[in-house]
Amino acid sequence: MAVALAAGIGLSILSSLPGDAAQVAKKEQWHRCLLEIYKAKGMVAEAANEYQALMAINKTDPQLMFDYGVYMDKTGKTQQAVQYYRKAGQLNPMNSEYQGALGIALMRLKDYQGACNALSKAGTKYSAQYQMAQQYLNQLKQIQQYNAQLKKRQAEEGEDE
Amino acid sequence: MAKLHLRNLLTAASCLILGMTSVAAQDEGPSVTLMKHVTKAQDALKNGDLANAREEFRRCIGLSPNTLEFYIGLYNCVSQSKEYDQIAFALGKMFQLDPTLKGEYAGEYGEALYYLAKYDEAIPWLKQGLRQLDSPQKKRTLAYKPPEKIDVGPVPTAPTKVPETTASGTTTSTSGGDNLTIVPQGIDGKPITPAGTTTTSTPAPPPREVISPEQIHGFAQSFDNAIRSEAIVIAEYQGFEKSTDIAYFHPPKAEYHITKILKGPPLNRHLPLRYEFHDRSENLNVPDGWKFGPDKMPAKGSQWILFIEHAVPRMGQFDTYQGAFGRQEANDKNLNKVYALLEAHSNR
Repeated sequence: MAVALAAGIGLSILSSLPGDAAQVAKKEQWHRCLLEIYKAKGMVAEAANEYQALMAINKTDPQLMFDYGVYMDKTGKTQQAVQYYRKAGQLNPMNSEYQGALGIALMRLKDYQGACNALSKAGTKYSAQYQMAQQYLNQLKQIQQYNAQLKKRQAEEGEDE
Repeated sequence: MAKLHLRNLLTAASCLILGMTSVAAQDEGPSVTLMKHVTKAQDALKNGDLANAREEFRRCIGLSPNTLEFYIGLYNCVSQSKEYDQIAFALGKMFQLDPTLKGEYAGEYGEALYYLAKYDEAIPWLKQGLRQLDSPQKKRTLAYKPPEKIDVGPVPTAPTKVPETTASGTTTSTSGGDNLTIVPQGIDGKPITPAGTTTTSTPAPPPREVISPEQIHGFAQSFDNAIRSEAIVIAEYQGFEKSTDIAYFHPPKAEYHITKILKGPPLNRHLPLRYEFHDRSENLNVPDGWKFGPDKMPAKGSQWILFIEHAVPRMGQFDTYQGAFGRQEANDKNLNKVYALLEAHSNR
């Protein structure tokens, strides 16, 4: 009975595999489903695995890299986030969001020079952050100059004595 | 794997051809209706009218819940429109009817479960689907073809309802029923249309359930129906207007004071009510030995839930829903029921 039904159902047994593109699309879709599930459940390691799987499928998708960066950033892994923001920015240098996110992440890592570079490319939306990064940078320069002068004076006083 | 299936196909096909001759002699009562829907579904599918095809396949499933092809047809219709509840339903039933499909369509099922927010259930199916994609095993394509054999199962009194939103359902057992086997395809492979089945005799109508008047009154006298009254209030009984001609069918005018309006217009707090002694379900006979007295009236100051079917007085008095039934004691149990129903009926 079951065999007869199975035979009659119109499953084309000899049918070939769906096209590669369709298969890849399906694979990507299912990985995305799993990713969203893991993200919703707070399963960071599993979500990271799904991102890796997706990036293996879409090696040149800047948005995916950026999303992964954002996810890493949110989970406190700023160093890794910067890495993926950079990759996203390299793949699409015109995207201000990528540059802005990179700049902010670098500011958190106290890399003000890097932050200034990134934020300068991020457009007007990030001008406030850019100014702040510049101020930090200027302050740093002033501190460095002050320290240098201090050292110089100490050295001069030592020579006088 | 493919060779095995091919062998099975050939075996089944030969069995079916042998079985064709005995078909004409069988009663085709439900099958004629079913065939109409099958034909309509096929036509709709052919014309690309997926919405109609979907509905027809759902009707086919209702009439023949164990025929795999109808679920395949339904799946084909709904997979394009991304109706994930229907996809999950169709695939779930397909897996029950042909477990070999489980491995092949696990990913699609998992995806449907994901969109239905059944995350925990979706994970293993999605993983299995991904494993299947990576494996070299070929996947069959689920393309609808008219069924060669339809298991109508026991003659249903009412069509099996196809759930609107479900991911898994129960399979109706066909054992022990009058199984009718029909072959809707001719030898040339062309499907037989209902016009080709004109030789069938008119099937006897299925036995109809007779509903007694008592049952009808039972349906009416429920809070579910009473809740549809125009006004529902909580009121305190204050007394009744004395009269010399109060009788069973000539009730007194009772005076109530509304303490809370649960539903309906802002009626005057003073509520004159026709205090009917019967709930309209009984015969028009006065109970033996019935005589009006103050004992037939409630205690003064007692609280009542009054279901007022029409919030307009008739001859200066309001009528309650189904007479005496429309006055219910305002105790916690009744109040809870009313509040729950009002909540359920509110259009939120």
